[in-house]
Amino acid sequence: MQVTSQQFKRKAAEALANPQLHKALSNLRARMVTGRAQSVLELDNLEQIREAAKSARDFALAHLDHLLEQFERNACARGAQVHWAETGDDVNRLVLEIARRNAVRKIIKSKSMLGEETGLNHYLEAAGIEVRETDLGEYIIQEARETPSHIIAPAIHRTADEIADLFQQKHKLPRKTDIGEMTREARMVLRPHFLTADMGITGANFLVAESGSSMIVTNEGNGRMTTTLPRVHVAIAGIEKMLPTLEDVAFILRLLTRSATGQSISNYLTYTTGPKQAGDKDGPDEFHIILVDAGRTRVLASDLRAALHPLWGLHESLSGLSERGRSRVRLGVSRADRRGAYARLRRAGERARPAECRYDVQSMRGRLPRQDPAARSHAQAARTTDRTRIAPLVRAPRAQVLGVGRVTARGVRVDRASAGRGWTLGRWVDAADAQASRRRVLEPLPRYAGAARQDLPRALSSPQVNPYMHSFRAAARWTADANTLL
Amino acid sequence: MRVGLFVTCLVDLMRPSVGLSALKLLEDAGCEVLVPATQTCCGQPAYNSGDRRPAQALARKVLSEFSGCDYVVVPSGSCGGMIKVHYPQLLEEFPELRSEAQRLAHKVWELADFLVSVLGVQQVAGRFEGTVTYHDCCSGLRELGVKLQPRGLLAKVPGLTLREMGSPEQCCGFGGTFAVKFGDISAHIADEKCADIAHTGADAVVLGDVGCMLNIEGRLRRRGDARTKVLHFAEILAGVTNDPS
Repeated sequence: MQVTSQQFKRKAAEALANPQLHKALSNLRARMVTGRAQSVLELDNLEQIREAAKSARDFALAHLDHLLEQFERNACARGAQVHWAETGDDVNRLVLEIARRNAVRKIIKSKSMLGEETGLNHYLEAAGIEVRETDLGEYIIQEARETPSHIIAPAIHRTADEIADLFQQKHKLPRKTDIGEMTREARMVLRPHFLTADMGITGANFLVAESGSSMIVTNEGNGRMTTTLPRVHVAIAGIEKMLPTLEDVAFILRLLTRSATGQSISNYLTYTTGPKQAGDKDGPDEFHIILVDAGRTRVLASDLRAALHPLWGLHESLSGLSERGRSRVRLGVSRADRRGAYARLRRAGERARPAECRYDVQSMRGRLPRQDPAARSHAQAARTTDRTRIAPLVRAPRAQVLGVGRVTARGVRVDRASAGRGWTLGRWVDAADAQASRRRVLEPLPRYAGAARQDLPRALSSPQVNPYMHSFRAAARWTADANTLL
Repeated sequence: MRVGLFVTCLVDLMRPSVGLSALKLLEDAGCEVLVPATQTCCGQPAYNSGDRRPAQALARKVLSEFSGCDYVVVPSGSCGGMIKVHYPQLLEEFPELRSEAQRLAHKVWELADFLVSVLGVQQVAGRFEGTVTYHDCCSGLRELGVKLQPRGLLAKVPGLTLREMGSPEQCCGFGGTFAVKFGDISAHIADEKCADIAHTGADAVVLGDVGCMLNIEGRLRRRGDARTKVLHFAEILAGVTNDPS
């Protein structure tokens, strides 16, 4: 993908001078904005769903390292192969390697913005592999050799007439004028490609940690075919797409389809978990998932710096622990940011690493989170931990001790006399070299120490939001019955 | 109840009648109003442009000028939002100032919000014969939750009919420095807002921020519309709807 932000003003002037684009976007806005406004009226408790969705996502981002590892375990348990890409170039390289290993000559693609980001299509075509976009809008711009102008409606800048001309030129069939006829023609032209492709590439709307699935939301059916017909399926996804449970996905879907296209639900929700299993009648022989960093950990780590400010996290976590649990809370500081941006909590009873670690929070004091009302209630809950002693922490190789202190309601107080030599918490380093990339993706992420399944948020815990489950199941039945473009 | 009136620099320089109307509304409601004479700007243009030092200096000045008030009322969503929402972040490197800013933030109210939520105003002095449409200013709506309050107040004005435009929440294109940095995009956005207003056939567009006001009125006049009035809701409520001074 070409980054053109340096030419923003010039490109903006060009776009402003294009009346067709303006008209198309106005129509699109009318459809989608009105569509959304009307479809959200179907929800009685929009704000609660939004809050629940937001907290699921915040949780996911805050515990990304844990969820990524859980995802990998679960995906591999179902026979998928998980790869870790640190940069966009890594994504391209990994896809090509998979293609070469499987003697792939033709690839079909479902729409992926990440693929745009890394320039995947060009890379594969330069390597001599035929790549065919199957989403209608993406197909159009692929034929026209353009880039998408809109995330959901990539060919919005093209008029129906221009598309009719394009189809006539490329398909060598009589020129159609009716949009329905053009769609059918495109479908007819694409069908043989679906049936002869060796590999399918999809993006992911979400990755689900508890089942190791990737999922996509589509309307055209091309996503269905791309994930099942070819013998190899590759899903590429940014790590920020991770969510803990299927219920969280279901929650967010209620908002996603409404906000994206004004639909109560899209025609297809496709969850892919592993390749063809024993006893399945169809499915790909191999399923690969490429987890992509490409700058995301940098962004997440910096954003999370504030969110995971040790004392903020501390207040929250402490108030959630039982009395007994609190008394054995330990606190650590990552070497990655010695100014104290990260901290993690270990629960009582977690297996200790062989060394000792202490911490210093004196430098953190200046950045105590503001005592806003929410934090105050947590702090009040945490006040009972006044007598909590922070035991010396577990040591790991390269650990850095900065001090020893005590948790109080107003934060953590350091025992000056105890300030010792520096120790840093060691990272969990995997021995095998093949895991080097994996490590480097996970490394900048703050470590989450809770590993129990009950740590995962239950999006439906609030009774007001529970009624949703019935309509979700109804919608799922409806989706199974839907048979539009196929 | 000592109420400090933060008139805002745009009101002071471009539309003093808005400030005078706000003063009248507050005094009619029985407040003891203080208008610190040395007040100038909230510092938002500097803050938005990344010029933190002058913005911090202005913030310090605002904090000292309004420290003695029980409430600080602002006839502008953007300045109110700046003081209430952004001052603590702007002053984060000065812990004492930051906590003072947080205390002040609890006392800052946008004018319509104050009239409705704190004073519970039921009657207004103004009259307006005709139709108006209301434009929601971005900061007031999104930072301070001002949406229903001005509409509720306008509903109490005898003779006034409110007709909503197609997209009242859509930005007018001003965006403070945005209109300067990206003028052509801003002008297009303003054109859409003006077309939306014209479509309602209203005699006047009413809003709560002089930034939006200047932008919309300027664009309307340049489009050849000399008829549609552009008014701050304070002016209508206080009965000051002559030509802006």
